[in-house]
Amino acid sequence: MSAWVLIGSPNSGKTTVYNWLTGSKFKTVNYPGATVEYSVGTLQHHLSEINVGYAPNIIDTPGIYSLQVQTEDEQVTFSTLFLKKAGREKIDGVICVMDGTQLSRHLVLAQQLKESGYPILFVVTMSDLLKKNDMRFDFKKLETELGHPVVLFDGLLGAGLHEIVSSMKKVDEFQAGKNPIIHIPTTSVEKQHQLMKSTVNLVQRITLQTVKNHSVTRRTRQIDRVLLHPVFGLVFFFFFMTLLFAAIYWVAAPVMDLVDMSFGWGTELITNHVPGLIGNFLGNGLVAAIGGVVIFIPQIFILFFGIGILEASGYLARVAALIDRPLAMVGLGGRSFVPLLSGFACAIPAIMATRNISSRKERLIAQSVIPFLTCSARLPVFALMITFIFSDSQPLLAGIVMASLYFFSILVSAVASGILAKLIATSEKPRLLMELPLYRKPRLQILLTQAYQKSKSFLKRAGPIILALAIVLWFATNFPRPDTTPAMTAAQISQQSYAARVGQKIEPVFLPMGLDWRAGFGLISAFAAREVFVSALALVFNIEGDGDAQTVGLMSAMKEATFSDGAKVFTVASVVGLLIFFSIALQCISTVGVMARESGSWKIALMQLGISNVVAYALTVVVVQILKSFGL
Amino acid sequence: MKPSLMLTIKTITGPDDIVKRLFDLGLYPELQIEIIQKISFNSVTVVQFNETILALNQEEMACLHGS
Repeated sequence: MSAWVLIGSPNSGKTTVYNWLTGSKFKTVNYPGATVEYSVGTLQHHLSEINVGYAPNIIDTPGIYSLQVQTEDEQVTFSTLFLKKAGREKIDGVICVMDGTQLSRHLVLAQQLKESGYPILFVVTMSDLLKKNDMRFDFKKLETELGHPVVLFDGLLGAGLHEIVSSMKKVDEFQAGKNPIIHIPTTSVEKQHQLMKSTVNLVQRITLQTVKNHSVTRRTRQIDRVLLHPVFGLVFFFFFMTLLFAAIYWVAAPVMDLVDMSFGWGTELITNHVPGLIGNFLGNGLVAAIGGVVIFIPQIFILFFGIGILEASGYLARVAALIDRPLAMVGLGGRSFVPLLSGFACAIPAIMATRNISSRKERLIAQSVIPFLTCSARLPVFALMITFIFSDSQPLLAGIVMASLYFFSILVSAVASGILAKLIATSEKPRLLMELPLYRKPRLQILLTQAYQKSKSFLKRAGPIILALAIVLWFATNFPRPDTTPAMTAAQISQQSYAARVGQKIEPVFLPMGLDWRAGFGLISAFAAREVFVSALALVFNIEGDGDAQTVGLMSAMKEATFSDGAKVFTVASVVGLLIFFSIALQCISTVGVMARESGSWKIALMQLGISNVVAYALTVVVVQILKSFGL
Repeated sequence: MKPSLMLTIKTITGPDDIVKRLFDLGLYPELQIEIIQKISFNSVTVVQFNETILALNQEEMACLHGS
């Protein structure tokens, strides 16, 4: 099976071409550096059928400006092309994607690729913008000058797709049996300068209609006058961010209630109709655990939808430029902004997004502080603890505390970043060099599809872990049952369970945090996935039901929970302690794995794991003891 | 350098990685660029040439010499 690699400058439309060719639904955004890993797909079935079974693999790669690669994501592309890192022994051809409105720049990479010896197909994207702004080029002449086929492509409607596939097929047929010699073209600044001059001349030769007065960028510049205003620009930025995070709570709330009700009903139905231990397991163990994850899908969907609007419109690249200076004060730069923002959804893709940062020091700092940001997995724990302190009767106060927790996580990240910037001894400075794309109207259907895909991927990733844990936790809290008699209550069974035995052994560790073995057992379970904490507590307290019923039952159990001397376990002090611990501790094992891979060092990842958790524990103990001394 | 100025680049000098990336982004000696505005507490300069708009921090902007 032949393989073609998509190569092009950042934001040139490679992923759009890839999606059309393979039928994939990868995220396409209006932000340079959105793709950080290569993806492999096969030509869509209907396109293959039209071309008599022609079915090459298509490899999408991160954007590169030239073959002088500087960042980790660019290295991925370079390795795919020249070091055979995409699991391919042979690359049959390169589809060089160029933005039609940026031809003079993008043709430089095209010229470099020509020197590599690969069979090349040139695809010119943004044909809608070319038409809209009456920019006309003689693409036949360009084809002659380049000596390779050139296809004009419309990413919105897919016009030009069939020409791309038939051109690939023709090239493959022509190359059959031949073995082109591939080499890495030599690059230097001088050569780049010469190439730039020659491509400017080339574009002049093929231009049929000249664009006057920057008509393509006029609208963008008008919007920038407002959104990049030295003062109001920052006001708008804070307004948009506040709107996004407020929407996560207020818009998601009714849908979350609906999910709550549905799972509550499901749990009740099962426990009422399936008798004994099996019913208990299916209802209170399995369905309750699944419900505990699904309930956060509305919030995750809204978060990704909101980030999608910012990315697709072209605004996100501007925000990166706007807050370059504030971030520079803590050793980061504007390029860290997008990974940091993604960290509020999930640390794993956020850490991967740091590949777009060229400075190793900045990349390392960003990777290290991302886990401190309030990711979606912390929400259920925060929601439970805040409800415990304020109850449902004080929603405004609860909202303010939730917002404060976000600010606290930003503060912790900033402090950690500042410390790391001082500790990492290198004179390397953060780079911005940010291309600001044209503003484009986001397409609702694409935004909805991408938010749906992201939510699905969250469920797929978290689902199996939570399911497995639900089984283990249910077993640990319900067995052994040597003295089980019909008269024994669920709480009594729990007291002699495996969970209780393990929990009681490790209770001394949790006592300084103001917690007993049950909360400690929940904390340990949370190291597999933070969101498990709530369902683990529900299991260990033998709370039946799901959704509101579970929350009400858990609240009541937490209020009544006491140590052997009769002192209450869950007090303001211990709950505030839990909030602090969850804000700082690195409990997500998947995040540690991704950190090790992205930083290239297990030592760094394990150090982060150790330091974060020790600091979280120490700070929690100090705060809890201080609050206790005030009688809280 | 005040906003809304035109600058014709004479030389691009500075740290290697910045110079390379400035060339990658389409800047080269003889090119005329427009300085649109300064943002992020005056530390980032937004420039435009042809249909490209770039944001450069102080160190990056200092690599562009011209008049």
